[in-house]
Amino acid sequence: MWNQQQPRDFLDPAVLAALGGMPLMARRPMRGSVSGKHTSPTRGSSVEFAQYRKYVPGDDLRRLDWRAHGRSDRYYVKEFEADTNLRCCLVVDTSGSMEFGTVTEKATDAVTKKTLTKLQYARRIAATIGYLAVGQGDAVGLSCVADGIVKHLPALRNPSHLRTIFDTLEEIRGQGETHLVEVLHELAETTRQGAMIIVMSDFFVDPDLLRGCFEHIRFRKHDLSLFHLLDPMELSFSFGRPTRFLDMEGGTAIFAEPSEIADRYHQALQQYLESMQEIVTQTGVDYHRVGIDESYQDVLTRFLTRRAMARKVR
Amino acid sequence: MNFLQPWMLVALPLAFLPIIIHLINQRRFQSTQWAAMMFLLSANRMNRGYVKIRQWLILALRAMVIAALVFAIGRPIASGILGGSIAGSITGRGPANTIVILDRSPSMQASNDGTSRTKLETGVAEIAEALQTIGTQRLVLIESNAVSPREVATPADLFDLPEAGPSDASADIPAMMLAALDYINANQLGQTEIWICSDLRNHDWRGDDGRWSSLHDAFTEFGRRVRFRLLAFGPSSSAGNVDADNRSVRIEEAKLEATADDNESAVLISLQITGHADDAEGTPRSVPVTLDLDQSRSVVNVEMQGGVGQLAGHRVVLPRDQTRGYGSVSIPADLNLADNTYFFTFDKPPPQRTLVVSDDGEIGRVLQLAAEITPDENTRSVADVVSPRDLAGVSWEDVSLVLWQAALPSHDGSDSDAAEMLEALVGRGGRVIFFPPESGGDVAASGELFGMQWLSWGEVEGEHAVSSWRGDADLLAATLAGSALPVGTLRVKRFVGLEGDATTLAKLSDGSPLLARVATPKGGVYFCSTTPLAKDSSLAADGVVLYVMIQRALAAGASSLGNTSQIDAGVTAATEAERWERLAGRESALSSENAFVAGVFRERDNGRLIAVNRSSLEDASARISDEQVEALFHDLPFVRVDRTAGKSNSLVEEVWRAFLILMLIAMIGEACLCLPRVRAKDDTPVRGGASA
Repeated sequence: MWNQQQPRDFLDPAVLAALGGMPLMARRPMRGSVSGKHTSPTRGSSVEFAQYRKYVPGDDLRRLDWRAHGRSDRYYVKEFEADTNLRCCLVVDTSGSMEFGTVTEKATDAVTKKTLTKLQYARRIAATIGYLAVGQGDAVGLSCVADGIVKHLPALRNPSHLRTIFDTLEEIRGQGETHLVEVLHELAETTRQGAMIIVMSDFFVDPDLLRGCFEHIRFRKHDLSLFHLLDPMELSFSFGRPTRFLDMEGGTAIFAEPSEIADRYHQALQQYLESMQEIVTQTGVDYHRVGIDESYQDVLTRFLTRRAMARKVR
Repeated sequence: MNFLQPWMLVALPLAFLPIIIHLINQRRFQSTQWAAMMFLLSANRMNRGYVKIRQWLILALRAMVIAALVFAIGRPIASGILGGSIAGSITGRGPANTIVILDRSPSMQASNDGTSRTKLETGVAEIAEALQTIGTQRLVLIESNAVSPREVATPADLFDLPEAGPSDASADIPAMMLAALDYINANQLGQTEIWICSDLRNHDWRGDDGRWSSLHDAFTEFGRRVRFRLLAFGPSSSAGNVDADNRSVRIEEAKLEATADDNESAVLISLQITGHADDAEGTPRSVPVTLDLDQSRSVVNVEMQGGVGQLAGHRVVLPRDQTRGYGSVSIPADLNLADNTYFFTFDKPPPQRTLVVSDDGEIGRVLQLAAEITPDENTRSVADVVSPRDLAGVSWEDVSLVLWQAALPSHDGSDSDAAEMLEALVGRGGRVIFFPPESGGDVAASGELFGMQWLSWGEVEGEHAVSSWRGDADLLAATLAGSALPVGTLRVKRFVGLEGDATTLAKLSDGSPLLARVATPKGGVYFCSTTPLAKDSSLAADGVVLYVMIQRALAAGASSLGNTSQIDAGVTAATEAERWERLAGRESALSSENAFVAGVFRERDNGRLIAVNRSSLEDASARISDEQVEALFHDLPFVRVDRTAGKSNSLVEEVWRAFLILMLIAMIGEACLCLPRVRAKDDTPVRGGASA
């Protein structure tokens, strides 16, 4: 699907092979342009019987169920579920805060160590999902957002489009402030209804503002999934010495004695996470809180499995 | 707070070490790029109040740990009586000089149960131990007998010093304070602590004495350079009121009585026992009184009634040839041994010799008659009448009373010898009664003697000229039976005015004195402003007042010349008493303290017997009030510590343990405040999610 001569450090063939057999399912009917694996909101001809419906003038007479008419002397039309493809919009937060990372991992040479940032982790998730989606015939697009939409690639099914996405992912750097709320509102409006939107960000914005975004996206019939990426240090705040904290998004620096401030920090973080949990539950968002020290394969396995299970239940 | 090792306090600034380390730590910060600024900002906003306080509390507790450790190593002393400051300890401005004012009066010899340590012993021991502990560069003792500063080499010497032992003389605290003030000024002392050890008896402290105000002003000028520490002994708390649980005995009179046939003589003893509280209520008790008289001992029981026991005229028969001697009475031991014994002497009454100095024959005769007729048949009385010009040939040695009716002699006149003789007579205890010269010329020619001067003759209007007189004391006092002298019936026609400072004993209707007494250390000087002549007054016609007046003055004057005498401890000069030989009393007492120790002494020069006893004021238990004490030391650096006789708790106590406990508490507190907040493992769950 892409040029194997160009190794991408955010794509792991082993992970792709492991996840290759797992479908990427939408949680709600998608409006695709071609036939695919995903449920369409429209009823059409298919092998999957959906329901009986009373005949109304204008219906195709070929779809009348004469047997039912014979039994009940009433006119019913047989409806079958239509399957379609999905448009997957990958939204990657490329603000300055996404360049933060403290997790060290071995490089490809297995000797040197490198630090993993949240942005790198987001690249891996976005690239893998993109690969899986194109693999099952779905269209994939990419939006890199910071203080606006930095880069936007429309959703296409073409495998060659995947390379463009990978190139873009490789090029992006974290910088600038986060204007995630405004960008998500914009994407909700500009993306054609019934798309799958997957956001990878640290979501360092006011949760109450996010509620509006999520409701807007849901109103537009999109299937929204969030990968909330957090570094372990952001969670533990385990500093020993007095520290001058420099804002990665250009704000003012803060000098603090960690021992003095740690309790309050954890209190604020806990409050924020609880708010996020509450909002995503209320707005029906598929929410995944991810510590970037966790294997992204496990994260994606959980993501895909949960969706597949939800589909079976329906 | 004082410290035994005050130099250790130089390490006190180490208490700032935690704060300094904290500040250095603040400067050694690291810089780091940070993404989750929103939580940091929120935490910073929330980081107010308790957290800030907690941080400062931790620092304060750490500083306290070090400070407490330094204090503990400095060996702090806790004592209410030690009011030195830390600054004073650090700069070495502790008690460089210590003056101990020691009240050795008999009341200080009371104890809790009669066998344990007395107030005096307790006070001396506590002061000595305290000074041994805290140290002093110079130790000066001012005790109530000598009232003169005496340097003591070490505090331990106070234990063995006889001058810190018991005495029977009352104390004069203002005089001792004055001695301390003079010593400080004379030696230009720096930091000085004046320790006063006393039981606050009224007659020792003399709270209304005029010297206190000048002392207060003088000590106020020193500021905090001179500090006062009062070791006040009150009534025992364990044994109730020491004063109320104690009996004292006192002889009112011991006189020799010869029988009519002169075969034998006897001593008549009258004594009084002041009882304690139990004697004043309930059934009458009997107190055995031991009577020691010239190697013989007898016991007589005295009934206590209403808190007082009286024994009047108890007769002790003497051998036929004994006419002189001494003895003592004593009661069983109680809480204060110092007032359980009373010494007395007896002797044949000495012949009473009166010298009448007058140019007027009639006046001379009247005065001679009044002086020669004695009320006691055992007493012989002689009166000589001489002219002022014939005084040169008069022998003054055995004169008890001088009745002077002539111009007053003066030191700068031709009669200066007479003036000196009269002053000498008064100085050895004799009495003088001056009557005015008859003529106005002589009055005008009178000089000034004893600070007094005759003015001029004047007429008195009215029938009964005397408006008031002192019937409670001195020459015109009422009789023993309680009847007043008929002074009010006297008629005075003419009198001479008086100029000078004297106490009026009888006053005429216009306020002029009829009889006045000049204050003298010893003896007695009286001025009568009229003469016994009929044209001047009815002193001779109504002779009772004149007779009693002269006989009382004569008896008082004779007592100073007798072969025996009863004196209060501390009245005689110590140098004079050094020559006495001790016959009875405390053998361990120094001869230099003869004047202050109860006992019987014999003068080496003339063999005169002297009985020395505590003053009658010592039997009065009134104490100066706490408010009065506060008023006396008002505005002065003053600390008072109330102690009890026999209690062995030290004035000073090392309290380093308290500082170590404080340090421990501070460390525990600091550790508790530094404990990280226990947070559950999944307090901030990383993994999680929700799905609709």
